[in-house]
Amino acid sequence: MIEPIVVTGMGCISAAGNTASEFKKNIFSTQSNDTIRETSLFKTDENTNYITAEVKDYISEHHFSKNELKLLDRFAQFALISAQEAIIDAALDFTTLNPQRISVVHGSSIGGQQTIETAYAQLFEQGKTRTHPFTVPKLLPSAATSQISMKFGIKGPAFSTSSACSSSGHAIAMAALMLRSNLIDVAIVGGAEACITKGNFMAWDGLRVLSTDTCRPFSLDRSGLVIGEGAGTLILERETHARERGAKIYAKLSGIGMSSDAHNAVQPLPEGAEQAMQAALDDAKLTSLDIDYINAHGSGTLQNDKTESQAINTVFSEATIAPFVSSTKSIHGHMLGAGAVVEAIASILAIQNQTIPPTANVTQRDPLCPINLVSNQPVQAKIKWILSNSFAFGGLNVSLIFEAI
Amino acid sequence: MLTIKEKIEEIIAEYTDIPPTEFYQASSFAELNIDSLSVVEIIFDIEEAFDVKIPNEVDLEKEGFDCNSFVGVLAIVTALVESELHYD
Repeated sequence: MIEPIVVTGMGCISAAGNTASEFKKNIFSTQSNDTIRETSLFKTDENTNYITAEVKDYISEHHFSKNELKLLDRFAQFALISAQEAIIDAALDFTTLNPQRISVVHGSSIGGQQTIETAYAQLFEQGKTRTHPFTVPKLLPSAATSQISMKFGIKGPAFSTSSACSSSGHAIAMAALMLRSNLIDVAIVGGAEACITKGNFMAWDGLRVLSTDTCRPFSLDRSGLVIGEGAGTLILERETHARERGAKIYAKLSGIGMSSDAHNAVQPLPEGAEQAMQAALDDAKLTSLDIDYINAHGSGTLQNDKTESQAINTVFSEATIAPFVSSTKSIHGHMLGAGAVVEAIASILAIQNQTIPPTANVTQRDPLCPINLVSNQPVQAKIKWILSNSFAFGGLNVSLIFEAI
Repeated sequence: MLTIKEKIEEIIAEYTDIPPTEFYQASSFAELNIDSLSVVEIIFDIEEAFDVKIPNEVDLEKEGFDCNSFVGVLAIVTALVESELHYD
């Protein structure tokens, strides 16, 4: 029998709050939120609506010394902040743990985008012939993992996962497999992204998937996704390990499912999403009747929400009561590589509070998305099992199942 | 206007608490409590400040220079500014 994996610590920073407790307040809010608004992170022009979900009131010098900041892109700063919060939350005492039995797996879709754009602007616009020598160690998508490992002296397996918007989902899955195989005792897992830069924003805009007003997943008038930024970190361990050290336990990670569409660079395929969800159910030894709530990928694009609804209806066709569905991206935006872990945190908070966080900004339900959508107001419900979906461009899918303790 | 020596002292002083008056005696940056990563940054700062390109270590050694101490760096920058040191 496979020993259960449990979550013992959480940390996150996003447009929906700079700590996990602020995040909780925002995702269960009954008021309309202002987490999504015109960006302050780069210069705008008259022709484009630069709507993003950026981290608010963030002053890097409040978190890091001048010397530390020299080697930290914004995404690695967010990663460290969320990791530190999760480690403190889990009361991990590194003096009593074997550092070689602790792992860091932190995902990112893009990595140090701000660093790249600064260097390119110097070379291609400002006529400079050199870039700062720390450009490379800052821009690597694995930089956040390295920084967490260095800061906390973690010496076990450490690597980054990159699968676009599923990156931190794959990070969680990889860490769970290492815990199941007894390769490690504790995993610091998550993802970070700081992708609200002019270059990245315009690149996404070129795909014609960005919303011009706000993020309204599954709403008839949805106009696209809203890019978000931030990071999330979970502490995972085997249940016996957590109990032996007297840790508080938030939830079990009962199932992981992964699949690949093998279909298209940007267009999602329902079958790929179905296979990921079914694989997670099989892994958790559950059926579709067991799931109470689905934290959808729900990006707010025309295509994703329709395809995901179709996939949910196929996988849950035998469910007598359709599971509740919502997308918290309407509050924290699409955090790309950090999305899956932050939505895992939303899912665990839903279990804790026995309340489903709503999909904000829904005006009218889309008949092409026939799901049991929780819109605009949180709903209290008995929640035992939650399925959380992350589907990435290029058809890379992860579904995770969390279970109440 | 600062002399070459004064400008280099000013740059290096950003990376150590040891006063510039003691830079001359140190046979390496390590003796000034400056790690190798900071040396890379110091070289970048010097290149920016003097608008020169400091050659790589192997080429410097061939010319009898070293860039791992204050005295060495001062000699390199002086040679570059006076165009005595050539590189491709």
